[in-house]
Amino acid sequence: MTEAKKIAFYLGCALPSAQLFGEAAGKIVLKDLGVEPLDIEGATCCPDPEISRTVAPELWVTMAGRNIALAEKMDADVFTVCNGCYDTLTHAYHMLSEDEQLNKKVNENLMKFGIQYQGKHRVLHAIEVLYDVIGLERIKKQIKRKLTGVRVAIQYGCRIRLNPKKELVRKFRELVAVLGCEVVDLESDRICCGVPMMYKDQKKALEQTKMRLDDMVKNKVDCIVLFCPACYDRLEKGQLELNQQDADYDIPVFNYFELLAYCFGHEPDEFGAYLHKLDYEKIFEKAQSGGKP
Amino acid sequence: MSEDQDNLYPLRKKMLKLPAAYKGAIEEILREGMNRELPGFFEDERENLDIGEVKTAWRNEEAQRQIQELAKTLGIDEKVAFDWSKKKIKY
Repeated sequence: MTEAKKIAFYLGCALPSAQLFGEAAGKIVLKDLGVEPLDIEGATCCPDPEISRTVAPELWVTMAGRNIALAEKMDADVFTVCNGCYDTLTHAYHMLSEDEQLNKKVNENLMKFGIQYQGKHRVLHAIEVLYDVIGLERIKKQIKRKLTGVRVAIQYGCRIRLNPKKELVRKFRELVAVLGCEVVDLESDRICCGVPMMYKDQKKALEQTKMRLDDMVKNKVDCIVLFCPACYDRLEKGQLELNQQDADYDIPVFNYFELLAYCFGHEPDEFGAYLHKLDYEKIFEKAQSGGKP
Repeated sequence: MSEDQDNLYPLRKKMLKLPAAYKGAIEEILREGMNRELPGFFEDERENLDIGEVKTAWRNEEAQRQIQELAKTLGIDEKVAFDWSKKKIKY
């Protein structure tokens, strides 16, 4: 793959409104790696693949096409950290590539605003940007300190785990291993975080989250790493909700970009780690002590 | 409520009624083009983290106008009974 000098960072809704550390750390590490992340002026919700695609598929595909087209206007590939946004944007990309009639209809509606969907640029996940566009070797060269002795569970997220691009799971795992931590593979890695079930049954969704968390506790996981902001929301809020019901979970959840920024030598305050609701500092303290608790 | 569902996803079961859990997200999209609100706290915090102002639809009225026009053109507002004066779903 060719080296990207600039790339459109599709933020989605969750990073700017609740998980700024993911956005800030992402921008920091990409700049460290010689890639310029571009904000997409006027981007909207992707829109989400659960609700919008079900209720209003034509608006869903038109908005997704519009978001990609705005990135294309900047002559850049577009990437996202959110597994849901990735699903929407790649799905819409394929639909618009394969269905000429749909492409024409979407473009008729977008052309009223001077926007044209061309589909000439790629839609990528952050995993692909880091692994394929930048490459592990370049990442390794930037690493100044490691997460020695920290036991990390990976929350891949269903839309990555079940994605037709099967290599995404392996690539994410390799990206985490580069940080020098102990990757803890769990039986529950295949369990959904519980987000989609929340729309139907919040109690069952929380039970599912609990099942995942209990497996992590049993296997002495220190922290969870992920990209997906929806999984983040569920796994962090899930712990807080369960703690109100007499549990005692305290497994901090990190966006992968945060751990990478830390390993690149940035201090957690630089990327807003203080916005986490669980004790994140113990992880960096453990890493600094070489893995001693 | 699902003519366009038939076109794009012909095998999908028809949705006859908008589930209550979906209302908030649909309202946010029709109001601001995003599916959740942007708290002022996080907007202020951007300055501390030096990541620039929000450039997405939350603070871009033209983007919001475009999404609202698209929703009207595609008949989504009627489909979900969206009241434009109150910016809410009626039922």
